[in-house]
Amino acid sequence: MNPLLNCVHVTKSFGSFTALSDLSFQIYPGRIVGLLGPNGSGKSTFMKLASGLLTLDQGEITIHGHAVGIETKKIVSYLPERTYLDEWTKVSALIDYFGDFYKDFNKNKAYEMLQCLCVSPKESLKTMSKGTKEKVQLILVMSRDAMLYLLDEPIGGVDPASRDYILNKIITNYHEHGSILITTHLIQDIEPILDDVLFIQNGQITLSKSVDDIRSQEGKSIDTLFREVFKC
Amino acid sequence: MLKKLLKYEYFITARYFIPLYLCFITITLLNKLFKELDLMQDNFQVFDSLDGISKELITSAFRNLTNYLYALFLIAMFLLTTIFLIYRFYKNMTCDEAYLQFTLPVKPGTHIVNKLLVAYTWQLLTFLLVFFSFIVLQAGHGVLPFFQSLQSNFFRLFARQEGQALLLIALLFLIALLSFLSLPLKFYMCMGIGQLFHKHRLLGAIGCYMGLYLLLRFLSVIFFVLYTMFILRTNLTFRSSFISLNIFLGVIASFMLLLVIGYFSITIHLFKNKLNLQ
Amino acid sequence: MSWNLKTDRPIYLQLSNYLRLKIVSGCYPPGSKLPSVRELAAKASVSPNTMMKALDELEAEGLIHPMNTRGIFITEDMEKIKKEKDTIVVHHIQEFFHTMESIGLSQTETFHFIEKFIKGGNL
Repeated sequence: MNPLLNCVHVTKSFGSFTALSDLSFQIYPGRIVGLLGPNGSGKSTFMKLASGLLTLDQGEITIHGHAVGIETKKIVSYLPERTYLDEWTKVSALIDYFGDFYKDFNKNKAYEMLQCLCVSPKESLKTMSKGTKEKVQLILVMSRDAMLYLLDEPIGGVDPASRDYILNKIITNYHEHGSILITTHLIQDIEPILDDVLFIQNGQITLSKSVDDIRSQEGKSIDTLFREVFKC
Repeated sequence: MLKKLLKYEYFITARYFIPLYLCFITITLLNKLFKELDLMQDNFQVFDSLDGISKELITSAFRNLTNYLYALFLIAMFLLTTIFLIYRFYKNMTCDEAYLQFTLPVKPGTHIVNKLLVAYTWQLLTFLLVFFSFIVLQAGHGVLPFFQSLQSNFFRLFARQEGQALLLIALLFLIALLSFLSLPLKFYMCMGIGQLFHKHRLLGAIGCYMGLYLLLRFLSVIFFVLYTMFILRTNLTFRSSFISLNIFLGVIASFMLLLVIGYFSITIHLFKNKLNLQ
Repeated sequence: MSWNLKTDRPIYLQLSNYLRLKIVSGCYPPGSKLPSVRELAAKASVSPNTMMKALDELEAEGLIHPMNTRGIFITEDMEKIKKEKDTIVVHHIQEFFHTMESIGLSQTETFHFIEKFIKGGNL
């Protein structure tokens, strides 16, 4: 089977600081993968490279056979850590916007999910709490029928109930042709929904295994292993 | 894709410009109202019933107030138009919103063209609105005769040089168009350069703009010096005295065109190949 | 019965245990249709792939039968279910006696405790 995302010898520096150094890994279709590492290990940098917000220094990232560009942006759905929507626009206008630019955007799905949240389409982000804003962004991202979802810290900074909601949305929107790559430092919460994990440290992959393999071989949870591996 | 971007961009920027224009139109009309009242004091019987102070108040005081406000708004129109268009680009293309813009399946070049077209439109509208507000204020006080005499003087001046006259007008329009394009593009390019830095991105952009400003000033001084030294010294006698003026404007327009192309190319290159969002 | 997933062993094994219990206890009656993989995964808050793996185990044991688009059904083979139930019971009993032994009780002493417990008296 061909990998959906192929990262080959990727290097990215910011001035004198090297964020990613000879990074290589593959993500296959139908997998929920966790990219785990301490702060500053290069997780967000990789996500930005894969979504086209940064340009590589060296190496190659191909998604579904294409180099990062317009063709990949059509099939990649990216959720950044920050609020990237205009706060004064109404939610209904945001849904129209996404529907206009993304062929794979499902408006009905988005409205259904918003209804569950009791968010009115006439509201604008300005009137919402931080947690609700994040959920709205997640809904917009997950309402796309994308091949690759890149979720950068989707549950950081939200209360536990919202976390459950977000994890539930990730699970229920999964489909076998697509994959989901999640970065987080809240490993305990995310661990149950992951299929595979990648440990990243100082811009390099130090571990690439399935969750089941780690648990059966090491007899520990990913969270415990992480703490051991990344002990200061 | 461009059409879609334009649709949303016009809509969002209109949220700002429509109120601004409405205020300006209101101030223009108020100014006109009090100007007319002032001039027609003697014709209004109403005023006869008022004592001197209140008459003075309504006519002169409000007249002066609306005058000041009008002058203020005039400056504001141009200043705020430029500032807002620059801020819009800054916020939407280099700050958090850029995370959305640059993950849309749209070429970076299309984004730049989108912002540029919208910036051009609003600058043109602002200019036209100000122009028409002048006409409104002067209406009934010799606007029509003014334009008529302008027209006849114009034709007298350009007798037997109609070709040159048309060329002059065309060049002036071209220069105006190019300046509407070059002003925002300069800022876009500087912001593109500013975002290359990892720290002090805004400072980098401002510094770049100031550097560019100084460079252009310097170049234009050199240009004028050279032009007067060489071109005007040549004893070229032209059948039409406007040919030399048109040549001068032509050179300026060409230079501006080169600059606009330059700014545009550099900006696209930066946002396509050197994107460095924070 | 909550899913109560432990963190130090593979999730899919814990899921298949949980579902096995539900089947043998009759919570999921024989011949009935299971919720979809995605629904089950969402209920357990696990990856659908992991849930799929758990279901594959149960299918290999013959406790469930996927029927293409119609869904996944519990087997109607009562013999099989009873056999499975017995296996689980024996396993738990073995574990229980093992634990009692590690405390230091002999089988006779353990029986004594069990009798008292069933009669409802103070231990």
